[in-house]
Amino acid sequence: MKALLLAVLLGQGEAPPDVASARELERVARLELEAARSKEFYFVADAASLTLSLKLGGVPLATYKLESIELGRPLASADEALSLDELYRCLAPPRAPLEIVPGPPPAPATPGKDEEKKPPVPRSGVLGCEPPLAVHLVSAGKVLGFRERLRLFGDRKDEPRVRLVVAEADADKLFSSLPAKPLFLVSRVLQATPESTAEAR
Amino acid sequence: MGETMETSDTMGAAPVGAPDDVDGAESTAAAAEARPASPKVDRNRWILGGVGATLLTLLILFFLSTRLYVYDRLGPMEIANASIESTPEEAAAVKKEIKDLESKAKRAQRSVVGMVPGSTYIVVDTAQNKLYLKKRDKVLHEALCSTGSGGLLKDPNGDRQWVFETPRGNFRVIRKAEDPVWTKPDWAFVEEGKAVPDNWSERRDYDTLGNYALYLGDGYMIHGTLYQRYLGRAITHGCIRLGDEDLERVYRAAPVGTQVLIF
Repeated sequence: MKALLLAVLLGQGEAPPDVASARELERVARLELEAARSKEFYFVADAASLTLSLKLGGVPLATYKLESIELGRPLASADEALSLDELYRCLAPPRAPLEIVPGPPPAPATPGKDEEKKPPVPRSGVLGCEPPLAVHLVSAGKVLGFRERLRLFGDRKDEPRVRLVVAEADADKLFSSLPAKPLFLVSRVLQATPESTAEAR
Repeated sequence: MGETMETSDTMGAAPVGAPDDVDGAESTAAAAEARPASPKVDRNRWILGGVGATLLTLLILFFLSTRLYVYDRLGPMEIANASIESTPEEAAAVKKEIKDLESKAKRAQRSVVGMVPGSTYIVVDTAQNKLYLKKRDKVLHEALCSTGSGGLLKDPNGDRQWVFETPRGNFRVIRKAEDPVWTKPDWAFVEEGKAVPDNWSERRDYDTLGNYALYLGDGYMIHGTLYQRYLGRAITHGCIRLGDEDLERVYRAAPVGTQVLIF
């Protein structure tokens, strides 16, 4: 039942499940090649390994551990089939820089006065994508504040959402190196076990 | 009269016997006439109120339904083991389709893997302030570095501003230099609260960049630092600073044309 539901979600009709997974394998490989050729940063959210990989030109740069990947649909259209089989072009929220006060260069390091000043790292972020999709990146260890919840509530209402709950240890790294215009791809390829491979052939 | 008195007291209006008393008498009479009908009015009011409240509730529910989301956890695609009833021809067609799809997938995967540089390349992780010298997927050397602070500097004497971020993306080493000389840009003087010199010779700095520099374009470099204690921190104006030994190793290993991936 679940496999059938997933197949419907992927828009693969009533294809036998092993054909559906072969199609998924081919789709992900094809879209990743397209992303790698684009010269843009791209994310691959892998539902099988629960990881989010950041890549550029086919080179894996970083892998962030996810606690969950959730697909959100407006309550009003929750029964409609939804596919996530596109390569999404996204925009990350702008960074908030820390303003530097001009003045003489800093004195040599003094204990307690040698702290690094970092621009604030957000606890959540939304990538607005085309075709319409909102990718919500949320740190697992931090509770969203009222303002953030209100902002999410007020976001565009007609687009599907993917919520990626990032492991706390990786969240700061991800938010610190979030590219401005990444591509985004969801993969649900199950790494074939020897048994399933044998069956597929 | 008692009613009139009560009305007057309640309203705090003109004393009894005043001309207004006539109106007061009329309104009292009207109220007396209306009283028998009040349960009906009350019922109508209740009905109207109920309908209004229902409509309002429906409106709120409609608004919420367009704003609220339902979430399903996404897992890997399952491969069902159940056999599917089919004729031998259909089974053969399915097998062929699977074989075609797998072969297309493998070709695409090989193409992606083939895009990973086979020669030495550099990866800079600005979140962790680390630089990796790599070949294929193998790390040849790992070093602490310093990258852009992300700070914003505004020119108090003009409308210029600079954001000190290390640019992200795919770059190449376009030039290399030993004992590099830094021609200080305007922001270096603005940041220190000094006047920007007209004379270019006053901009030359022979110490700051260390022993080597690998130029990435647009003024960005991988170079040395006088502040080795800050390695591992995001404190630069966009360049990538390395410690002396790491810099020498990277300088020797990365010829002009080396790919530099910064994220």
